[in-house]
This record gives sequence, C-alpha cells and structure tokens, in this order.
Amino acid sequence: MTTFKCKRCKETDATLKSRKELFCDACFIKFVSMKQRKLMMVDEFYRDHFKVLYGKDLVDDGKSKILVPFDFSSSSLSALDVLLGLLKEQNMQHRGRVGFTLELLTVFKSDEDRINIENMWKELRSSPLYDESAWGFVNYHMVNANNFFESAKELQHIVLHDQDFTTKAIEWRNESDGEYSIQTLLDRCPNRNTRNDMWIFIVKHIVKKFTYQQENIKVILWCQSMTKMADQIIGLVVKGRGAQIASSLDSENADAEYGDRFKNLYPLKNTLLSQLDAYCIIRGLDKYTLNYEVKSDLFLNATDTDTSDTKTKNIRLVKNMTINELARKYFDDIEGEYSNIISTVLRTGDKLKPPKIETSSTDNHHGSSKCAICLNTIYDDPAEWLRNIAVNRGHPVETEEEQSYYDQWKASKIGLQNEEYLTLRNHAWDNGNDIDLCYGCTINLNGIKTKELVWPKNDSEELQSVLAEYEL
Amino acid sequence: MSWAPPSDPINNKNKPVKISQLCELCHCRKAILKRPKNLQKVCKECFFYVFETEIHNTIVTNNLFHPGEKVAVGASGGKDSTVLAHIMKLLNERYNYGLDITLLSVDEGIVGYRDDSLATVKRNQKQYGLPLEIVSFKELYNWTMDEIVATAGIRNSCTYCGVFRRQSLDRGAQKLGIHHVITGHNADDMAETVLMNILRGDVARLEKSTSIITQSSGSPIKRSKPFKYSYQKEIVLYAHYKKLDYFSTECTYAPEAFRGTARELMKNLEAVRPSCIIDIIHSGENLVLKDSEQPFKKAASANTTSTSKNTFVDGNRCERCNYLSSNKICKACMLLEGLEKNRAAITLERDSSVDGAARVMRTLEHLSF
Repeated sequence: MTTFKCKRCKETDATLKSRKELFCDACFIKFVSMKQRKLMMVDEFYRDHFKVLYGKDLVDDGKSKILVPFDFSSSSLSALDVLLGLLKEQNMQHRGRVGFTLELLTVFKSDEDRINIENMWKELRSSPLYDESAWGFVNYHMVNANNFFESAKELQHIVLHDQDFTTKAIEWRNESDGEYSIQTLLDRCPNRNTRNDMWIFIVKHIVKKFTYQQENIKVILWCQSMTKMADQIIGLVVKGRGAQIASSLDSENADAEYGDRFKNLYPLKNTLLSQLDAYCIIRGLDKYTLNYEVKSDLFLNATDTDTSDTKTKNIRLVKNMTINELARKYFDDIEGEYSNIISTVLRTGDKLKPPKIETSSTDNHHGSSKCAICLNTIYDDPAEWLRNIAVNRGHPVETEEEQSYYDQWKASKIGLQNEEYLTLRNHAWDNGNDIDLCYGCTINLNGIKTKELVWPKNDSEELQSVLAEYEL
Repeated sequence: MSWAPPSDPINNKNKPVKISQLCELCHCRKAILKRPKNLQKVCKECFFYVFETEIHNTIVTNNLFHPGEKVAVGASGGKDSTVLAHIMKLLNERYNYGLDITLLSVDEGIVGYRDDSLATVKRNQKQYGLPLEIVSFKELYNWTMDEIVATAGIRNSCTYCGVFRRQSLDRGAQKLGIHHVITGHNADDMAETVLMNILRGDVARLEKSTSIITQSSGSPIKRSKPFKYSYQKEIVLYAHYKKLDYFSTECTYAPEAFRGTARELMKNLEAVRPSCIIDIIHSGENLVLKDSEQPFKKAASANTTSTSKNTFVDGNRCERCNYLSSNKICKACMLLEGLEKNRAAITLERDSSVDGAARVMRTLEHLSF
C-alpha cells in the first residue's frame, strides 16, 4: 500500500485526508484545536473571558465562567478536550492561574437518560486522558427537561384560530386540567419534525435560562459544528424561519431575549462534523459518546462498508427524517460533486441581518412583539400573510342534499371533535388575551390536530423561577 | 390538431358519501383531492374557489395591475401558462380588473417540442378568445435552439435559452405596445430558486429571489408572477379538473445540473413537510443582507453619475442591439458573438441533422412494431 506524508509536518505518514489535505494525527489535532481557539479569541470581549488577565484588566474579578451545553456528541467532547487542554496550559504557564472556569450543562428527558448520562460522565471523569487537576476548573450540572413546565410560574393554553390564524391565550389550571409534561407535549405533536422543533427550543431555553440565573456567566459556548450550523440554516429556511437566521448566528451582540446578560459563541463553526469525529477517534474520545455514532470517513484506511450501510439506511428512511436530517443527507450526497457547499451555506447565513419590522396596517400590536412560544422577534404579521395565501373558507352549501350531508357531519364524531375545538376557541376568544406567534410556530400549531398547546407564560418572572438541578 | 376535453369518469353517483369522505372546508360534498398546500381534503367546488381566490388575493395584495392596463401572458402551451391564461381571463371578468390581455409566445425553434406546444397555444387562443403574438429566436437572432445546441452543446442549453427567451418576451411585448408581461412561475419555482441561491451562496440574487414584480430601472417592461403562492401540483390539478387543453411534455434539453440537485432536495423536503414550499417563500421574503454585503447597491449609489464600464448601473443600453444591459454589450449579444464564431462555415440544404433530441423522441413515439 502506498503511504503519503503529512502535508503539514512533511515527516510523519498521513493518516487522514480532510478537504483534500493530508494530515498525520498530531498535525490534525493541532489543526482542529487551533480553529476552535482562534474563534474563542475572535474579539476583545471573548479574549478577556478566556485569557489569563492581571491587575486592572481582570474581568469579573478573575472569575470568568463559561457555560458549555454538553450532550456527549463528538462536537461537545472535542470542544471540551480543547478547553481542558487550554486550561492545563494556562495552569502551567501562569503557575496555578487560569483565565476561566467551565460550567457544563446537560439537559435530560427521562430517568433512563439521566442514568446513562450519569454513568458516562463518571467514565469520562475517570478517563486516563485527563489529570484529576484538570477537572478542578469544571463544574457539571444536570437539569431535567420537565423543569420547563414545572419551574414555570404560570402556564397558558394557546389556541389558534383555524380560519384566520390569529392566536389567543387563556389561563391553564393544573387542578382541573391535569399535569402537563414534556412527554404530553411531544406526544401531541403530529410528526417528528414538530417534536424535534419543540425539543430543540426547550433545551435551548433551559440552557439560556440556567445561564441567566447564574452569576458571572457572560458566555455560552455552543458546541455546534459547521455541518450542524449549515443544517440549521437550511432547517430555518425550510420551516419559514428565515428571519431568525441572523440572530441564531449572532455572537457579536448580547442575547436580547434574555436580558442582554450573555453572548452566544460558536467556536466550532469553522470545523466540519467529520473533522470533529476524526478528532475524537484520534484522541480516544469516541467511547464516551452517547446517542451518537462517530464516523471514520476521513481516515485513509477507512473501510467502505460503513458508508454503503449508511447510504441504504438513508434511502430507506427519507420519509421518516426531520428537515435537519434531510439537509444533512443532501450535504453528504452532494459533497463529492460540489465541494465547500456546507461552508458556502454558513457564509451566506453570516451575511444576513434581521429584516425590518413591518407594522401591520390593521393591528399595531404586531409591530415589535416576541413570539409567545419560541421568544423570537416577529418581523411581519404571519396571520395576515397566511390569510392572503391560503383561503380557509369553502364554497357555500347549494342543494338540499348538501345541506343534509352537512347536518350529518355536524352530528358525527368528527363534527363533535370539531365542536369541542370550537367551544375551546370560543372560550378563548371570549376570555383570553391576544398573543403573537411567529410564522414558524403558527405553522407548527396549525399542524397539531386540536390547534392548541400548553406553554409557560414567558416573562421576566418566568426567567427568575429557579430550575431544579439534579445533584450528582 | 384538434382537441376534445376528456370525459368525466363514470362513478356510481347515487352511492351515499361517508362522513369521513366529506370535504374539510364545506363538510357537505365529497372530497376528491388532498390539497398539497396544507393536506386538506377538499371537494372540487371548494378547490376551484380557494385556488382562484388565493390568486385573486395575491393580485390585489400586491397591486399587480391597474384598470385599463394592457398585459401579455407569457404562453408556452404548458400547464402553468395555460392555467394562467385561463385564470387571468376568468378573474378579469369576475372582479372587473379592466385588463386587456394578449397571449405572447416565444418560438425557440426546438423541433418536435416547441412546434407541438405552439399548436396548443393556438388552440388556447381560440378557446379563450384572446389575441396571440409569436416571436421566434430565428427571426430575432437568426438561430434556433436546435442549431445552438448543435453548435454549443447540450450542457449550456438553458443559459442560451434563458437569456434569449427573456429578451424575446420583452421585445415581443414592446412590439405590441405592452409594458407588463405576466409569467406562470409558480411557488415551487420560487422556493427552488431561494434554496439554490442559499446553497450556492449567490448573495447578489438572494434578496430578489422572491420578488413578485421585477423591473430594471429604465426598462419599459415589468414582469409579475401571480402564481407566486400557487403550488405546481395544484396548478396541474386545476388544469386537470377544469379539463384545460395544455401540452405536458418537458423540454427535451437538459435542465441546469445544480438546479436539479436543489429540486431533488425540495422533493424530499416536501414529502416530510408539505407546507415547506410556502415556508421557504416566507423565509425568502425575510432574507436581508447586511449593509456591508451589498456591493452592487453600494456601487450603484456611489457611481450614479459615473460612466465606468465595469459598474453595474440599471438602465444602460447595449451598444450593439440597444437592449437594456448592465454592461457595454448585453448578455444576449455576448452569447451570439460566441455562437457566430463557432457556426459551421458550410451547411447542407434542408439539413435536418441539427434538429434536436425532441425530434428523435417524437419519431420514436410514432413508431410501432
């Protein structure tokens, strides 16, 4: 077998090929970690939060804390590895001083999840890869996703008008209406897509709310690879949330939805997921992943069997995939013919800014409101937009026969279900408050059969309500 | 070629309708189709009503026309333009738009494809009682598409056809004294363009990809797309249930390769989220570039008085044909120059070898064993 030399050091045999460049293990590790470290020092704000500072330059009295949402994927494991490496380096060079400490946070859905996460964390902690001293700068937190409903001060019942797409909210009472959990919500979602959309928002909200409530955390370090961010951009476009792309990539400004308390940093946005997978394999971190399969596509000695298996699996499951998974499949399929497409998508996303807020001519309160579900800014009036393009009123009843069918329908089970919805809708319209939803959430709610869901009332009080942390 | 509308399928009309089979909008007639737009099961009457009303809403909300306006419907004989001609005539009469409608066709010179579709347009002219004007590539450029493909190859056929067709429509409209051309571009086309521009990072086109009205400054002709929010599948269903006379064969020359990949992605996305087409258009309408990423706008505002040849200024004229161009020479003249260089020096009289793949396909279709 022919061997090639690494293009960087020109000494060691190359073990993998990434974007047409040959690397040896050591050069590749350096290459990936430098990309992350470069983005962690992208501007003065971030530099001050990661570097070891002295005297008058000290930020937050030298107690800079970085929150890292940690899900045991190759991205979060490799990001943590680079961060631990940097801490070790700072600790040695500055004789016991470091520039920051890490707060890792994992959100779990069920007890089974929690046990798996707990065991994997213990394994990672006892891994021979890291000295015990490295963990001295790391705190680990676990939060149950059900806190999303449990910690909320007040829940509201959001109802969508099936014909004019406006929304109202009425109070939700636990005593008479029963408990509402994440599972109840996810079970009512009509498909994997809506479930996935809701779950992504819930996790993000818990992470940001947790950060909001901690002292001295000014940076959330999101471990999202370039590939994942490109999937998300396409996902946002396909879900009608194009206006949110700019804010979802914004690392320059503080997060306005959460009181400008912190900034969101994406230091892996120049690194492909396949590169992070390879990083984990080389560092021996692949055995610590959870619900994630590390791929060895970049290695020169990788066998073809894996890829062909994945391909057949993808073909079989297309109808069952989420939008983000379909975008990923597209990137995988097209990468050979049109290279750099993932980075092109990300670069295009980076060139966008939020659109101007259009004040509705008929209803001024749509002007600068936030979505009651996803908290994003509403730039136009989605109800009016939908009313114009999708008429929801039919041709009138014309004959006696048609009238008789209509009466039969009204008395039937389907008609009664509709009656139930109409009663709720009338109740909401008589007693509820006007609320605004963004386009994406309106479409999601319209997809739910009963066109209603229960959701925390999002206000400053909700952000203050303490999230119950699971003690390890 | 004569045409007779297909007959209705024979069903047992007296068979009672089950409650679950009733239309989800009127609840009093049997549903016959599932709307691809929102998966609602609707009856024929409700489908016609919502489809036509949605297009009317699009026209009214965007102020597409003014009373007394002369408009040309870009008619190719395909499903989109046939439904467009039908709907425009219907809505014009129903809502008194006061429009003067003319059919405008372009003959690209694709033997076995365009000649058949033009026969359909000629029948449409009689069916709808609308005037028809046909402009041809041969007449305007002295080239047919078959000749272009024979000279430049099939790979770039869409580039030539797209540039020449756009210009031909404008020239045809100008000839008739019409300043507004309406085309059958539908929601699928528009969503596909938005996706494609994001995937290939075409920032210059990104913001404009969902405009319902397009017009270069200085151009007397504006274009609009009343089917901006209409799904292709619904257009086909409308043509089918209204028994419209249209030509259903796709152009035999290859579609743009990259657009093909975006189309494939859209098909998969639509399978898991039928509303994705209008969702993408909604996103497209909200994609705004950062000020620093608008080189064309910046250049245009900085050079309004400059005559620099490299600057993009809307409203320039081509030095050769006097057609609107952002450069000294328009794109069509540039392409023609390249073609002329490669034109065969000697040709055979009555040579049919340049007739393209479409002719071969038609010949094969008529063979029997």
